[in-house]
Amino acid sequence: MLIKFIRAGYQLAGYQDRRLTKGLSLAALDGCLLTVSYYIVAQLILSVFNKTISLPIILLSAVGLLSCLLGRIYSSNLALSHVFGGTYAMMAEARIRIINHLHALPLGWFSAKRTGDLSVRLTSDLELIEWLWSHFLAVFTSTIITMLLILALLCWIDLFLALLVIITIPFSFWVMSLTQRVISRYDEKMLDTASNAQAELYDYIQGINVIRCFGQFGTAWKRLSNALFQQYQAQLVLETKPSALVALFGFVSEFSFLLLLVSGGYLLFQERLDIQHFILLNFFSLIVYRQLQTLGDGLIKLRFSSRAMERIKKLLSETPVATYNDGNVSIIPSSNEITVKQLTFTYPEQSCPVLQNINCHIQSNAITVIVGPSGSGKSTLLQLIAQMWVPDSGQILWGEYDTKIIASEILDRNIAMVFQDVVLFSASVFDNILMGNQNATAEEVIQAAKLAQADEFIQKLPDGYQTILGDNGYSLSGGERQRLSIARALLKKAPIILLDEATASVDASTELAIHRVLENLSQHCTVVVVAHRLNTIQKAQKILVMNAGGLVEQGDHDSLLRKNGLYTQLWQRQQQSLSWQLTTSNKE
Amino acid sequence: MNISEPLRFILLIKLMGKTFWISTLTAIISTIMTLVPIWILYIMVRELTIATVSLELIYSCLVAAFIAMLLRWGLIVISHVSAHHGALKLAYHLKLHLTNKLGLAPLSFFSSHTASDLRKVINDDIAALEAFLAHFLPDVASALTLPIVGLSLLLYIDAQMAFVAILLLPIAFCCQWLSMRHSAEQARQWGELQLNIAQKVSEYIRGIAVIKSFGLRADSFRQLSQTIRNVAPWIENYCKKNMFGWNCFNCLLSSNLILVAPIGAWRCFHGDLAPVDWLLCLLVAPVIVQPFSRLVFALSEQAQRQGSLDRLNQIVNASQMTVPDVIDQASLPMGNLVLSFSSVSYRYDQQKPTLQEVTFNTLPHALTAIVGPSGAGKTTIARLATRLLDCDRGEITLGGLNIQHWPIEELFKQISMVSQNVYLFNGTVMENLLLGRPDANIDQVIAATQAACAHEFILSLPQGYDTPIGENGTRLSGGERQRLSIARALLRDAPLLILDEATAYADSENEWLIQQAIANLCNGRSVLMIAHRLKTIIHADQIIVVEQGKVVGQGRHDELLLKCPCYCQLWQDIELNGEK
Repeated sequence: MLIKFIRAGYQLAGYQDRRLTKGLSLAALDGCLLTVSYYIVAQLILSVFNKTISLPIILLSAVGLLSCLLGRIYSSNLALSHVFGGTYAMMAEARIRIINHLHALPLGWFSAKRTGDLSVRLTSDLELIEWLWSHFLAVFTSTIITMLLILALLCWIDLFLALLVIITIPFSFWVMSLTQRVISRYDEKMLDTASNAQAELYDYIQGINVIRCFGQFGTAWKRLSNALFQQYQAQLVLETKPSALVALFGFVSEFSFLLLLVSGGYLLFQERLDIQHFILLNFFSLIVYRQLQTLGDGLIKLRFSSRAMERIKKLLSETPVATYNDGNVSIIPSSNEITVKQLTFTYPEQSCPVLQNINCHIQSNAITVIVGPSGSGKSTLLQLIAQMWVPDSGQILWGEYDTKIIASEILDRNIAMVFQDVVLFSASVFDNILMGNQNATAEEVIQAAKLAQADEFIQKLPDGYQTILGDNGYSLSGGERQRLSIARALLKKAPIILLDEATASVDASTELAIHRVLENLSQHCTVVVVAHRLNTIQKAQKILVMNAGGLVEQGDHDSLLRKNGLYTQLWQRQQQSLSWQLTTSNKE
Repeated sequence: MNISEPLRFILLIKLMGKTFWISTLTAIISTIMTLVPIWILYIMVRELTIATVSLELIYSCLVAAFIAMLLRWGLIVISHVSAHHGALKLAYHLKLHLTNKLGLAPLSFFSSHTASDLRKVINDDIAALEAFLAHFLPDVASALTLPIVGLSLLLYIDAQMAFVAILLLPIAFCCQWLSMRHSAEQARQWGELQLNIAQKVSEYIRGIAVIKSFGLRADSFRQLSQTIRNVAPWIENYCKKNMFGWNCFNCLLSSNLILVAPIGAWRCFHGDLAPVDWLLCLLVAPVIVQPFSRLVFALSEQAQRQGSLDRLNQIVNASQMTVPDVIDQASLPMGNLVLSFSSVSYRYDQQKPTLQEVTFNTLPHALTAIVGPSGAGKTTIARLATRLLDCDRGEITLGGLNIQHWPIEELFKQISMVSQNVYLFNGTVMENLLLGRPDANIDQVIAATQAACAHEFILSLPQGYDTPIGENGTRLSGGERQRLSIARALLRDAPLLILDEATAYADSENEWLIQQAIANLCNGRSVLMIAHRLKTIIHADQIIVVEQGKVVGQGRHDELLLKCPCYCQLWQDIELNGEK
């Protein structure tokens, strides 16, 4: 069973850490030495009760015991540092493997619920394994060795009475496995309620300010306290229900001592056993009993770690759907045109396709704009071009090649994307931009910030570019955040730039400046923009108009207006909205 | 449960009450029971060396041992169950207390403590306190009992042997002390290392879309893999340096037989000690010292819990928004109230002031608009007016009463806010709407959603008003979320409305609907609008121009065009951008 654990650990880490096996062998040696010292004491007991005790025997025993102690200190010390080092190194690799594995999973896999689970896997679960392994694996190993050796000694002294001790062991292990089954049943319930409570807690903390605006904690508070109560109840059940079984395990393993006491006494009474051996048997059985307790304790704890390992293994076995390919690294298209052919796409776990049979051509060295009502599939199309999803059918060509055969590495390097939802990290402004291109120089970073119209406000921050941003850049305004994320994309200097409503909360003059930069960039890049403000994009060479998952019109602003179709409608509606004027007494 | 602050361990024990005493006492008695079988063996052997075996002796020993074992394990169950009952209940109440407390902390508290950090503190650190109550206390009680009772037993049998049994103890503690000298510092380093990893990992997951698109892997994302890998050498080094003492300590504790056995045997050899007494020493001696290992381990874990306590106390001691004591309802200002800012200043952390000396009044039943370039501090004004922040200097009053002196519930009966960040929690559409007014009936809800142009799209959802939204439910578009939040504000029916860039994210179709909804919402109310688009507020009764945290102009559109250069600049930008 121990071997099964360790093998599972190797699987997670993706390599075998020699330190672990070395450490455990040393722990086994520690167990042997402990048994030897018990054996020496047993011999002393025999000679004292036999009255054959002599000074040389005492001296010899003392020397023997001392050397066992020194040997144990040496071996257990080495064992511990090896086991700790090995465990932490292996779990570190497991973490990195999981993190890198995430790259291979399509974006669609990361739903909000899953990301929550993922954090738990990567932190709590791995920390649990690390802690349990490092603290209990060595003890567990040495205990098993000691127990087995002492059982052997018992058999050697008196086979019949030894059997009395051994006979209870399977029974106590049966109780143990029963206990584990009960625990795991309640544990599942507890974990469910715990993760629910965690989610509610997060939801509550995040929404606290809005809740407060409604002047009462209302439903959210009730929901949270309800979730916390569920968790409390489940924890209580988990802790109290199996406790009688845990005690039964202890009782059963201690029972062997009782059996021995009685049957030994009875054999003494019948004079089939002498008093010295009666004492020895009891002495050893007390030791076995103590080892059994340690073993049972360790077993429950290691079982927890193996369940955590199961969960992680499941995560690692999530198959990276075809998005990530180790495709051909040498394929680099000669032009940056993008051609979309008969593209159809359905979001996972949904039945209706969001995009149906899209055909379009995106010119290189030009700006292409995608517009349409919300839910028409604009962002989805952009994300498909960026290879974030796998289409149901159809092709996306980059230059002359299908993107499917181009290595993801190459695609990543050549496409820069700016997302609707800005993600900033709690690092300096500089480092946040640098993420676009790790090899960029400081000048390049500042240049990118200038192009994204961000330099001016960055300079005004307390520490300029070195200002550390709080959680997701809280203190920055929406427009400032968007400009940082644009700077990050520009720094990448990719030949294909995709922007998804990237300037929605930027003020008008800044937006205009950013569009000028994009126009400049488009002289040597392919720029695709999803926009909803039609005014800013009038000059675009090509506008794709989408509606309900289909491409309904395309052309430049003037030709589209002449068609008098959806674009014209959108345009008119927007003009109407733009001239909308609010007063507190208008009633329509 | 009345939790006075700040939290201390003694206080926790007090709060645990009766269950603490039950669990501790039963733990102690059950520990004493562990010595009974040894004692019985001693009696048996003693009787045997004097006389021959009698069956009665065997039977009485059997019965005594059986009862002791039964008692021992029975009491352990009682101890375990009562300890967990008390600890879990207290942990649950602590969570309620702290989350309630968070509900009153100022927003600035949340900018220095992220939601995920707070969740970790409330969850993990309270779990640590729970472990203190449920495990540490009974463990320590039983670990202290064994040495005391065992040593008394040995003293009773033979004082010299008792002394021999604990002879190694001082040496063991020396080793332990040597290994633990730097443990506080080490534990701090270790905690930092782990926290650093946890934070980076959670950022990585949150930003996975961006991270994938920039091709960042564990080794290129902020040295993540380096950080993770550093843990193993650190711990190995720590083990080599500090574990040696700890190991010696442990080995010495489990080895007092190396003295008790030979010395006892020697004394038996000389006839100073009865062999049976020596046997008892052999059985009891290990029991006396071994619990110290558990005790020290428990204490070192306990030392780490101090950190948990400190972090929790940060929440307990978090500055509270000043909330007035019970106030006479009748003394509150009534009617359509004016919100006024006088010389209000505010800064986020150490940044340069976001707002400086801002002064203005809203007009009753009229539209007041705040305009200015991005980053001018417009949103901060909205946050201050809704007490999401409290101002550093100056005063914000509603109806002449400082908003900090308004009871929160009453204040938000007067003010409702619609902002671009719509918060919808994981619940049904209906539950989210009812946040506005929990006692609203279905007709009122439908009237509100119709006015907010939301009724139709809600009906088209799979389960209509009962459709779950959020993480596990239907995803709504930005425009739909906006309209839901407007419906919620309509239900709220507060006379003063604060609008913050509500249309920024919507597409043209939604924008039109949102505009209808807002128009309905504003009708007949006093409105303070953080305006994004100048055209919209051209007819506002009052426009306030903010630039770099200061009010640089105030008046109607025509007046401002004449006298406010900043306002003119804003218009020029729009014209350049083609927004005519």
